[in-house]
Amino acid sequence: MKTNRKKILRMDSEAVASMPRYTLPQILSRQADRLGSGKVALREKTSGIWKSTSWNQYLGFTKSTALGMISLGLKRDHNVGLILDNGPEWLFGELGIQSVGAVPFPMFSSTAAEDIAEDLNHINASFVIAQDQEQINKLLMLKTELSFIEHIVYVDPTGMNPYEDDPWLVSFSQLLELGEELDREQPDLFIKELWEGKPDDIALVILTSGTTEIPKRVMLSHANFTDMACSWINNAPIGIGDNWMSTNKTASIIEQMWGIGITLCGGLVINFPESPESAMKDFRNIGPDVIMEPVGFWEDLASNIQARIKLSGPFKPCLFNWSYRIGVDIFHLEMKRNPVSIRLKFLRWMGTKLILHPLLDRIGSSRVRVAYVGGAPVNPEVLRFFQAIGLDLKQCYGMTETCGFFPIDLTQTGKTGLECSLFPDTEIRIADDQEILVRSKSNFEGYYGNTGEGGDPLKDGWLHTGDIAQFDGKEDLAIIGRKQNVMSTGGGQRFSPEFLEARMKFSPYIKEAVVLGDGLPYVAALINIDFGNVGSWAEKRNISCLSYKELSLQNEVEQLIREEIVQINSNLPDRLKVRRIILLYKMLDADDYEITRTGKVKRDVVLEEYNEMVDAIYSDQSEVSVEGQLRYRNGKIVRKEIRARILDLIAARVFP
Amino acid sequence: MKAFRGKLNIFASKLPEDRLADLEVKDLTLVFGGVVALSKIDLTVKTGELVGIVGPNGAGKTSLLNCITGILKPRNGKILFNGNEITSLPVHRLATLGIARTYQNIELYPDRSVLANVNLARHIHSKYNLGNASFFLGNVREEEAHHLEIIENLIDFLEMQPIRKRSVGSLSYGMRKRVELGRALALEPTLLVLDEPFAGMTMEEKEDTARFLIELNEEYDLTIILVEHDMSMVMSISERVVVFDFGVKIAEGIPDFVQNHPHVIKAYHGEI
Repeated sequence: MKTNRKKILRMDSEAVASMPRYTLPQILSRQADRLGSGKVALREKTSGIWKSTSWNQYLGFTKSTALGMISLGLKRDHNVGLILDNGPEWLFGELGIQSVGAVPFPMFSSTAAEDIAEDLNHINASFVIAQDQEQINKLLMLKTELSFIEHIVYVDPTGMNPYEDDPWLVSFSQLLELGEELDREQPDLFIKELWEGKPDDIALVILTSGTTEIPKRVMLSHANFTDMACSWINNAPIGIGDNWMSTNKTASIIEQMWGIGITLCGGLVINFPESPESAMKDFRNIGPDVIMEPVGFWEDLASNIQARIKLSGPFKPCLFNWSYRIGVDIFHLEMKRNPVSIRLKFLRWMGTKLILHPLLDRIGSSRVRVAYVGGAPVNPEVLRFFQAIGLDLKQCYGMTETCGFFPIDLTQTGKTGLECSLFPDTEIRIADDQEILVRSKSNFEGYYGNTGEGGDPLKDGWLHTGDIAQFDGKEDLAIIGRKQNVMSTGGGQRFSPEFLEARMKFSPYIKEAVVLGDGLPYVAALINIDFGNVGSWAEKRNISCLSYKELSLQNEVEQLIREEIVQINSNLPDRLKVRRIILLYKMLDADDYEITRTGKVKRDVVLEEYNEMVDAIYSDQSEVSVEGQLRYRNGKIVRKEIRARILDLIAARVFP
Repeated sequence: MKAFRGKLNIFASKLPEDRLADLEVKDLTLVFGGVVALSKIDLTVKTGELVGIVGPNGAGKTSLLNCITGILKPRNGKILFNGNEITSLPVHRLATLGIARTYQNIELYPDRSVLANVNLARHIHSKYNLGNASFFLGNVREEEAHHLEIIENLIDFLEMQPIRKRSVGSLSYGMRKRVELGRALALEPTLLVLDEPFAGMTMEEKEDTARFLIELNEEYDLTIILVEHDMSMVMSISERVVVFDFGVKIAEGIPDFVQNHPHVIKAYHGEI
């Protein structure tokens, strides 16, 4: 068996302890001294080959970027917008800006032009670094409104010829040249600027995901990042040279905390895929030592694995189910901290050899020491699934305001939850109203501009997260979801829609679910089918379809989803059973503001958009016709009359 | 690093005199049995032009391309390329002269990877012999590395990185067309002849292809002749459009002029 036997090369503990005294670019310069040209810092796949950048080169590029920005006119305390994809330029840009004492503000590349302009206006950005022509086009469209921006730097020169003469635009390679020129003129300038930084300076302004409110701009200091990073380096099995893969959007907190926090402080290697489409393949190429991905990633992966196992002929599913059951048994024993018998251990060893290890290898995870999941409440079934197939998936808790995620263990923690944080410097407490409170040095510095509704969530050093946890009555805690989202049925019983949705999304055929029922007699749901998995299921049964809409309205598909929900219902208490569902005719889309850019459902928007369906679900109708908005593949948007059936899952619809 | 993404070296490094691709078709007539597929066609394409050829079904567009690329031999008339007559030259000689084409019905090796299919076009630029190649000697290795570099450059340009090692048979129709374009470009042509490059593509794929063609034409002065049914695409990217009907050239000029030409309207919509 080829498990990861590589020894963990720990960072020198003294060096780690001293890190909170420096800014992130200062740490880069110290890492370059320590790890120099021998160790790899970054790796990027280009022309089909992995190309490495050493720590010295990493510092060199960052220095040139910083000096280039100075010669373009960047000053201390300026704000700079970043619209970048995963690639070395993202890190050079961000750390370069920080070494001058300016503040980067990462944005999602899929954001619409008007929203970008509004954000840039709000932070009064003096520069923007953008990825490619697509982003430049958006910015040029609104040039008159963005007159406060001095220059725009673009990374990818593809297709930029028509704009070559525009003095507003500067290419990244030109920027590096400008930096090198300035370095020759004033060789001490970079060092001087670099060491003027203080650890309490603001390192980053970043948007919250905005599931329950308008996204807020969170200010995080260098110390927030270094503190979070040091906790990880001291407590997690990661060391110098370990591989980490950058796959999430650069404006998400997961990517920021790893990209400029943990990997930088811990001397890990960041690997960048060749293109977003090839990310999964490149992931397997690298075989990372440590993974952290948001909940959606793991839910999709679990769905995909299950769906593809089901379609893999008669022999493999049997073998898989056999070894999976053994894995589940062992998981339950270990959860209760009971001893595992030698017989079970032997069977697991066989199962791993025969099918589970090849499976993990297939998803590029055969070398993973520990995998982490964060970002939203995790369905315990997802955790159990991956634990059972042999991937050590650990739950993390955190948010943008806590500067990222830290591992937690909710079992046997008791009602106050004091024991559940696995990092000694990060404390968690469950308040009397079940809200989760977090205290650590990584808690954010404040919101940029106004604080928004609800005031300051920091009280006496405790961050009021707005998430709630529930005690199951014995020993275990469960994170339920956002406090604002908690619903109560007509009977007055409280429940969390996120909890139910996570259960449904575990089905390989359900992509997204929006649970209804706040103040209403029973629980119902709007459902998005998983186009890929249901598509191949349908293909096997000779059901033809051209589009998502067509597939989701097929009788057979309705029957399939009905069976899935009935299965889920059987494990739920009566009051939480989903009674009626509608399969939505289109996927929820970030471009229609129905989900956030990180893929979380925006409940208010969905309820507003599909209100006719919601009304129909709580009436006697068995069918509803709505005027739906459809986006064709050629970009055309049409409004069309669509009839959707309402599926009854339980005969008695009245809430008991 | 994407910031250092270079140009297409095989085209960017060419001197202006190596980019010459003046094509002249004189009095061309092609006959299949009793059917006159092309009758007395005159057509001139100058270096650096992007010319679109349109016309209803059976108008003789593809026949003309087949004559230019040497697949069909005309009964009468001459085809001159940079002043030399190429009418009766065999196809492989035309490839070395710098004429490359793609086909209406994709002609690739479906079981081989994208890399292998594109690499195929490099053989006219290989200098090593069978003996050296059998043992993969030093110079062969060097040369192959050089070819691979050129192909990777093309793959980068055509944004085919994620499908590099996929077999062509498993790709969508639109992507196969792109692979075929890549193979034509790997020949380092001076004249690129495309037979329906947009057929069967989604809107996004069409836009991508249009972007590639415009960049090849404007940035690298590559001369392009394309036959296409999608009028909006042809009209938006061509500098000059030639319209055929029943083997006869009925109109020629800038897109606006051609679109409003009475003969063209008649050919497409019938008598009004």
